[in-house]
Amino acid sequence: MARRGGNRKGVKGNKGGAKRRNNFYLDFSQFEEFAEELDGLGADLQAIFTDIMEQTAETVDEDTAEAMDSNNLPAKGNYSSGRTKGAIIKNPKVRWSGTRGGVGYGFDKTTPNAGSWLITGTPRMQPNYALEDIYVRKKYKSRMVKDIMEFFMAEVEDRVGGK
Amino acid sequence: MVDNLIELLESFNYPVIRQGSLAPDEAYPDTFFTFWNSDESEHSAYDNDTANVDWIFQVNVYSTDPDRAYSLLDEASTLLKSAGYVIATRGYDVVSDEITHIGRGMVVMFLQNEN
Repeated sequence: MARRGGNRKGVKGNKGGAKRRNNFYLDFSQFEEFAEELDGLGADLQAIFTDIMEQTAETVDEDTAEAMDSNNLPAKGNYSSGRTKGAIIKNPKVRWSGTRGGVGYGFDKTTPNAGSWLITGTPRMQPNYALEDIYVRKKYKSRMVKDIMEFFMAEVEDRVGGK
Repeated sequence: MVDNLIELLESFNYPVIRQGSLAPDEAYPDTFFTFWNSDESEHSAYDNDTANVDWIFQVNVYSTDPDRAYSLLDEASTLLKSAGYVIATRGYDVVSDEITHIGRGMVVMFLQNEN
């Protein structure tokens, strides 16, 4: 069926940049047995996961800010107003729904176009290499998962150590 | 691998260009594909030689017709999957320099056996 103007989502024109958010989630229900054991040792799994997720999101945000350094921007940042850099999430907070926690990271996608055009590029502008490293290539994500696991083990050891 | 991707996209009879390669004063074609090779990295090695290579591409469709942008990306996704590419997303909006065009994109991966 033909549509007059606007795109499929009913948004007029196209300034691009979906309202999708970069979120990551952890669900510790799969750790039930482990959780019971840790509960017995006085460990609060939700608090541990909150720390892990917020610190991981903060690391991504710092790396994103670094990738927004002028040297990585089109025309060495001469045309940058700083608005996109200002859209990087600050002090990310985990929201819990039962045993499932989620935290936003990177660009705040409620700001239209924030950062996404730098990651995907446009027909007239190549993507930003440093941001692609974080949001597209696999190496960064693999390192993030490894860091989360190491952080988790360290947190558990800290909180239940010696008991 | 890049040639293979371009060849497959060209079978739709729309221009296929590298993302960022359109000159500032060059007009957008009505409907066209762009691609970008985000990564080409070693997936695994055997006897100190690369055995498999991971390729990651961004493939985008820009069009003055929003419906065509959506349907063409779907068709491209189907074709690429049948050619062995892995596509985990249905698509997402990508920014267009021109208000007249809508952009839709997807991340496309391929695991290439070097032997």
